[in-house]
Amino acid sequence: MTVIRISQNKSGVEDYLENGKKTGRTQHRGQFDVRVPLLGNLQAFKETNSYVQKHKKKWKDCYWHITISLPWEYHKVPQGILREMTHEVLEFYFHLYKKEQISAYAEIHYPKQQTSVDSKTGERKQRLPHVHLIVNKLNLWTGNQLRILPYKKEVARAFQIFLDDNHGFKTHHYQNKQDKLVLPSPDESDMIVEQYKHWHRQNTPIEMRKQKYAPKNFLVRPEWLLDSKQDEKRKNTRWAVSTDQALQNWNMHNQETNDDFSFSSVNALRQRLIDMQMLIEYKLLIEYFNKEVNLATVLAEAENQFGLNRDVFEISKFKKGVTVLLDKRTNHTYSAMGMAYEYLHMSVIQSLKWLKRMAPELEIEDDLIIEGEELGLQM
Amino acid sequence: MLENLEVKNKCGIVTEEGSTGCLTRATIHVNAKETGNNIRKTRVVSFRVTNEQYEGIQTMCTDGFGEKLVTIAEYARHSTLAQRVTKISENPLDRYRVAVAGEMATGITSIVQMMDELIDITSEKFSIVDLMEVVKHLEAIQNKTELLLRPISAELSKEAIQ
Repeated sequence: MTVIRISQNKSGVEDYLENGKKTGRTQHRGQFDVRVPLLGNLQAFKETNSYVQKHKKKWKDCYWHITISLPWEYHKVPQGILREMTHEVLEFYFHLYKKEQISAYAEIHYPKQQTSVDSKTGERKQRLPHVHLIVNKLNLWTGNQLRILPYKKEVARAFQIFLDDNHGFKTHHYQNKQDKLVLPSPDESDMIVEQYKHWHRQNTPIEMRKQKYAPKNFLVRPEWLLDSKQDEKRKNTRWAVSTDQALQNWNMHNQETNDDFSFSSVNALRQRLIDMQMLIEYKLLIEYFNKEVNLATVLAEAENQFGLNRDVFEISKFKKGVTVLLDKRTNHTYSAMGMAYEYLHMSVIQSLKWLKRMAPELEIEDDLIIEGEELGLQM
Repeated sequence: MLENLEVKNKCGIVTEEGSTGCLTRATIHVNAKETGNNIRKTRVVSFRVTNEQYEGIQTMCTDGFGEKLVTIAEYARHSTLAQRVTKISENPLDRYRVAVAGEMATGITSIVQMMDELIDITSEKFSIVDLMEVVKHLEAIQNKTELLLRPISAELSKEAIQ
């Protein structure tokens, strides 16, 4: 059951993704979510957005904000599936365009804080991993506004059925037996989606006189040559001063906004490779932690620090008398390391440090766990 | 009230088929009565132009890609009130930069996706260090892309002088 929500707005999504700012929330994003970039580059998206805000003042909204989420039983779905789904959603809504024409960015939010309190009912609820996909309205090639596939209930439902079938998820529409009689099969859903896309293509006016941006149009512009009439020395001095100033401004801007780290899919891949290498490097230590760390302490600490609902877990015996944590909702089992790395979405290094804090009696030397860069992994 | 005026502005351009040939009339609402902070436009200025002149004005209201930047009424109002010929343009270099940065981000995402799939399929039959080298190059490209988005000298002079 894939749930897709779409909204549109003029500004604020970058701040929401980076800082988690939203009405009624005081925590910072870093406190309650682990962000994993999935598609595109946030900096490039920001620049496109500021371009639109500057040059397209008449546009009511600047971007679409699409969220994709799955129910709890699929919370362990691999990143690759989420990426594939994100591409499918992008392709579905913006089927009129090539992906190079679109400025889009997506990231997964894995819950660090496991539960949140429902503001209406006061009930404590399990938070779920979800994807934020943001698409700027600017067609990068023509400068016009992109045309999203218009909403139609039957088509949206068909697309949902198609997505679920494609990735082996149960479709909630089929859970209602009465509906099952009239709902389209996955193959029929695919056909409905394609027919609607065809209709949309037929009824969208061809963009006449539009062409891909042409560098010639602006590389030689008479007004750019005005400076040549000025005294060369003066011009060079002014240029040098202004360039220095601009670089300073740019650096300050970067420091203020998002440090020296830019969010993009490359960062997620790098982290994945580092974690893979760390799992090999620290295999023995991980086995040691899994054997020695008290799982009751792990649960208690996870509850204190990350709002984990302890009631849904129990400590049970696994093969050869090894104890594990059993999630009673899904029957998934977790070792101490599995709880930190898989369930709480920490990196391998963070997981090891977290477990080490929980078992000071294990006498592990402080410098045993070292960062990836010291292993020659980070550049 | 403001909404009505805006609609009227958009619809205020009428093309007529006359006996003396095809003439185009642009009807513009120029208003200068202030109500608090709002400016109420209550007076109408209309003038006739030939087809060629109309097309010329239309061209001035669009960019090189044929996209409408302002309405003809707004263009005429601004040109008249500013007492000089108005040139409406987007900054094409700005768009070129965001377009190139966007395309490069898309390209990098495709490479990352392929590498991710490769890791999924081949399991442990690859060298992590080799893949890290590729990541290093991708990050270098990404950093260069971000350099592309830095303010350019034309903007810099303004900022620096200010």
